[in-house]
Amino acid sequence: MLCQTTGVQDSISAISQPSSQMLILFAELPEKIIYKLSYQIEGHALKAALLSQSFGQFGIADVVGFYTSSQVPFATTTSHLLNSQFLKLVDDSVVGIPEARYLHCTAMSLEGLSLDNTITSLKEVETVTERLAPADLLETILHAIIGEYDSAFTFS
Amino acid sequence: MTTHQPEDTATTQSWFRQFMSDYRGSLDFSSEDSLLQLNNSIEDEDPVLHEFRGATFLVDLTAEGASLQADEDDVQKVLDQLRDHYNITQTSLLTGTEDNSTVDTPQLPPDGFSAQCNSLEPLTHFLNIIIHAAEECLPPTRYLKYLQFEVYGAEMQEMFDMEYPLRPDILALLPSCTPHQRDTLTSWSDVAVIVGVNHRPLELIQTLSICASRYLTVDRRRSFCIAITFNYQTLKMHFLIFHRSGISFSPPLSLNHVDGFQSAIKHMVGILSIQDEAAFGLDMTRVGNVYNLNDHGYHIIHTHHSNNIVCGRATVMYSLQRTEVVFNSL
Repeated sequence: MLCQTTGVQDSISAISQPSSQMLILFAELPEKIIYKLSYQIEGHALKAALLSQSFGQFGIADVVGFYTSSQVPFATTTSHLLNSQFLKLVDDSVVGIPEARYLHCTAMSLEGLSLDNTITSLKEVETVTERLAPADLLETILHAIIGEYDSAFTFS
Repeated sequence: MTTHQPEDTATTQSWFRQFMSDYRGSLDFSSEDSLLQLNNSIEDEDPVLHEFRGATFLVDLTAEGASLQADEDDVQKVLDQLRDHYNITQTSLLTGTEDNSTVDTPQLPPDGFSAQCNSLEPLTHFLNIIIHAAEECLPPTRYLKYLQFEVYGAEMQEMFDMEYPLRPDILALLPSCTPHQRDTLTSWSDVAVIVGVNHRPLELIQTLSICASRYLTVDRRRSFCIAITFNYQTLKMHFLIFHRSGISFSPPLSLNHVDGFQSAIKHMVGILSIQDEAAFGLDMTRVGNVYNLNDHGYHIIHTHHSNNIVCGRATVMYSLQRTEVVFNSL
């Protein structure tokens, strides 16, 4: 099934502090989706924001919704770290600082747009390359392939 | 807390390799000196401790807004109930020998136990009497109201490691579960609290960490795991929360001191005060294998990826398909 973009991307890109808000921005979801849950360190950018910029182009799965929260115990570790102090387990322990994590839920289409569609789009005015800098586009494609995302992605 | 450990060195190395391989799945412990490395830099080489490297914290778990938040008035009520109706105080608790504790009159030897196995029943008696006292003076609507600790010491239903299975010392089962029958194995999904008893703290934390991993893996609705450690020689307890940011420890609570005794009661009241599934850290958007997304039910038809670590991103990725199930109550 070819999934079209849903318009949720504008909402994602408008978020400046993704880990401190409770947001449910699911648009009408398709019958079948890929659903990813991951606990990210506070302040970490939303992967949904990265992938959503491709709008399904280049075969990259389209982001159709996402959710992050700091309001419920399941979605955050903040309640476990109130006024915490590092506790040394062994003599040569590396001293750590508490890092709260927040649950990021991302709903994606099963697959991105076909390559034919991409080629067609590139010929038109509304192309993804007009919205993304080449470096961002490359990063998005690599992330979609490799699954790593550690760069200093920033929101505009 | 026990895991089976073979006697001779060669087999021990094999056991460690199996242990490491089972836990991480991707580490190569084939070199001859892997045990030596483990001893030299335990936190670097032990995959269990490495996972929590720099992520172990001392926390007041019973503070306002904390995981085991306990109301001071409730704590005092339970302390009074223990004293007035069960004749349990810090002094009376520590007047026993190793074998005279009963369900109605928990007693611990003030100098500690000589062996781990002797301490399991008395500790269970102590924990359960706190629950009974709490039943009579805490609000009735509590998620873990009917919690009950029991000596376990058997394998779990989910056999992650057939050769060297975990055997938790004491378990508290969820109130919805029937008491453990000796001829059946308990599922991790029925467990509410895990208790480990040992006199070697690191070994205890290692084993409890693996238990926590199993506990969170079997039921992905869960986000944290409550555990208790008990040093049977020193009578010191810790309450622990294993979660995605590491391990949060209570301060050491010595039952040999009034403050430690009262603080142990306070932490138990915190556990027993958990109001509902949400406060217990469960995912309220999911029931069984169905997610509630925008008032539509989505059934899990395939798990593409599941990272079963405790501390970290713990990413899981599913294929979901819409179903007719509607979750009006969620």
